[in-house]
Amino acid sequence: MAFSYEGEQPRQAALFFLLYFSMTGLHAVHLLIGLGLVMVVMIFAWRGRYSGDHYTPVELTGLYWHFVDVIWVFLFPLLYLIGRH
Amino acid sequence: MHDHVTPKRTYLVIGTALLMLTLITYQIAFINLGPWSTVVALGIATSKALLIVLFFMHARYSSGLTWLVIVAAVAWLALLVAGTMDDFVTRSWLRP
Repeated sequence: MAFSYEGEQPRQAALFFLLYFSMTGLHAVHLLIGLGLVMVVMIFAWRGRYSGDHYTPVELTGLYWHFVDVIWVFLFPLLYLIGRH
Repeated sequence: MHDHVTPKRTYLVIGTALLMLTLITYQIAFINLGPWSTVVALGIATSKALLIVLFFMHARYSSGLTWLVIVAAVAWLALLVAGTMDDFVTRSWLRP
């Protein structure tokens, strides 16, 4: 990947943006997978596929979605807030 | 799996708390606290993660075995983070 930054400390900027784009990019992939899973579970739930005896897919999809969620909880301050003042 | 059904109200309360904490951490980021800025930002993030794991991921209503898995996973992650941070912290020692 070609990266050029004309300002101060171009090497440090390159390192930051390599991490920035790989972390947000991987997170975006996780989000797309999560959105797909939630949509499938939502459609199945509408069709009455789940009940009090059968709800493991709902539980596991929720677990996956919130795992992705927790990652953003840490990525957001690390990428956008630290050093802002 | 377990048979606990969380009331809608719990999700609304926790969701609102998470939004409030996001607002707070955003506002605090504009105040210069020196090295404490990072500590405060990650402290708020950790408390948000705790709320998500406890209520949204149902850890609060889960068995001891689930808790063992959570604690083991977090301990392993802490080892990996420590392994990265000891490089970051001690790197300057090489340059006299």
